[in-house]
Amino acid sequence: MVDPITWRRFQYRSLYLLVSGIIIFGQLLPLNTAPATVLLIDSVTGALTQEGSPYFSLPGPDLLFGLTAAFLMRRPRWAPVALIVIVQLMADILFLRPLGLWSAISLVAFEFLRRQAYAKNEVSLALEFALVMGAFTAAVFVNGLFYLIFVIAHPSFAETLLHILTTAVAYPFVIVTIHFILGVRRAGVRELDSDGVTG
Amino acid sequence: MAIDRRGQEEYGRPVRRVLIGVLIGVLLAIFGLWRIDNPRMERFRSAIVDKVVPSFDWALVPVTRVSRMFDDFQSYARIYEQNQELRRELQSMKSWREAAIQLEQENARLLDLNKVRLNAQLTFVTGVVLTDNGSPFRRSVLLNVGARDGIQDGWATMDGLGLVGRIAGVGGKTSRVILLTDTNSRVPVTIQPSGQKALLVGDNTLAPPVDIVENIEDVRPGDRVVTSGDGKVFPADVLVGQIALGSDGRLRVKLAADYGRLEFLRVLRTPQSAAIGTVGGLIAADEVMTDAVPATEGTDG
Repeated sequence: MVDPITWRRFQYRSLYLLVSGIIIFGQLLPLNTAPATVLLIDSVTGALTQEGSPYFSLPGPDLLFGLTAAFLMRRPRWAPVALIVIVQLMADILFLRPLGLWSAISLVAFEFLRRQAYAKNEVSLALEFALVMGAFTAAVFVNGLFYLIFVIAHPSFAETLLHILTTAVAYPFVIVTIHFILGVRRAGVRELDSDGVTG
Repeated sequence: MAIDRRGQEEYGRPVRRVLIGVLIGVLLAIFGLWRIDNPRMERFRSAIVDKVVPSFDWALVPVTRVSRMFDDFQSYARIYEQNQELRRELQSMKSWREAAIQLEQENARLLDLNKVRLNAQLTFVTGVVLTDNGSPFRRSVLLNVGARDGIQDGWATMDGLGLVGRIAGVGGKTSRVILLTDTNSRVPVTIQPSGQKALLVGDNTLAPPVDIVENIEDVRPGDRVVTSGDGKVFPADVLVGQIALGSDGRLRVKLAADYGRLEFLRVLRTPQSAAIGTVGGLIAADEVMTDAVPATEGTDG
C-alpha cells in the first residue's frame, strides 16, 4: 500500500493542478472582452459620457499567483516546482503572454515565498499578506522592466498598479477559499512526516 | 528551522538551488527564443491552443451561454418597454431602408456612368468566439475557424456593424483575432468626410485614439472613420466607428462594433493580403523590392 502521507500529498497536488486548470479556464471565458472604460465628451451637449460599463473594466486579479502563493505559505510541498512551472507555462501560452518570461519571474518569487514558509514556524496572516503582495509587486515590476528592455508593448503604469491592487483585494478571498473549502491548512506539530518534514 | 532537522537536506539544498537556477535559465531561454524567432514560437503557441481549447468546447459554450443569460436577465425584466421601443425604431428604419434602396440604385447608375471599378466582392467566413485571452492587458479572442476553413493571417474581422480586429495566429481549427483595442493593434484609417489619413492605435481602452492626423483642425467629433486600405493588409472602406473627443482632449474613435458582447465574428476574405512570414520586416519593403526589380530590367532592355 502507498503510505498515507504520500497519498495525501498526491491528492493535494492533483487538487492544485485541478484548481489552476479551473482558474485558467474561467479567465479564458469570453465574458469580458470589453476593455477599460474611457470618458468621452459628447459632441452635442458637451457633457462627459462614459463609454463602456464600469463593472468589468478593472484588470482582473492574478488568481493563479494567489493560489500558488497560498499553497506555498501553508504546505510548500504540495505545490512542487515542476507543477508550478507547468501551470505557469500553460498560462503563458494560453494567455498570449511572452513565453517563459512570467514563468521565470514568478518562479523566483515563489521560491522566495517557499523559503519564508520553511524558515518561519508561524506566519501570521498579516505577515503572509505582506510577503505575498511584496513578492507579487516586485515580480510585476521586474516583468515590466523586461517588457521595457525588450520593447514589448506593455500596459500603462496606472493599469499595472490597478492589477496589483485587485490582486491584493482578491488574496484574502483566495486564502479563505483555500483554508475552508479546499482544506489546505498549515501542518500541526503532530503531522510531521516520517523524515521530520511537514506535509 | 524546520528544514535543518532533516539530515539529507544539507546536500539536497544546493542541488535543488542549482536545479532551479537551470530551470529559470531554460525559461528565460524560451523567452529569448520567443523574442528572436517570434513567428515560429507564435505558430507553436497557436498549435497548442488549437489542441487545447477545442477540447474544452463542450464546457465553454454552456458556461458562456448561462452567464450571458444571467446578464440578459435585467433586460428581460423590461421586455415590454423594449418591444415597444423596437417597434418604433423599426418604423423609422423602414423609411430609411426605402431611402437607402433608392440611393443604392442611383449610386449604381452613377458608378456605371463613371465606369468605376470596385474591389472584388468581399466574401466572409463567420466564426464563433471560443475564448478571450485570460490576461487583463491583452485584447484578443479565439475563433472556431482556422486554416481548414481557409483563414489566413492578417485578414480583417468584423461583427455585424464594424471592424473588430485582425487575424493574428492561425491554427488548424482555431484562429486568434487581435482586437482594435489591444496595445499591439495599429490600423490605418481614413476619416470621412475630410479624407484625412490617420492611424488607429489600440491603448487598452474602449475608445482607441487616432494618431498622426495630418490636419487636426479638419477632424470633428462625429466624423465617420473607415479603414483606408493602406499597407494592403486590410480591405478599404470597412466601417470602424465615429470620432469622439476624449476627456483628455485626444481624438478617439467610438467603435461601431459591440465590444461588450463579441459572439459571432465575420472574417473578410482578402486573398491578396500579404503573408507575414519573417521577423520585423516591413510589409511595404517587399513591395518596393518587387517594384524595383522590373524597373531595373526595363532599363537594361
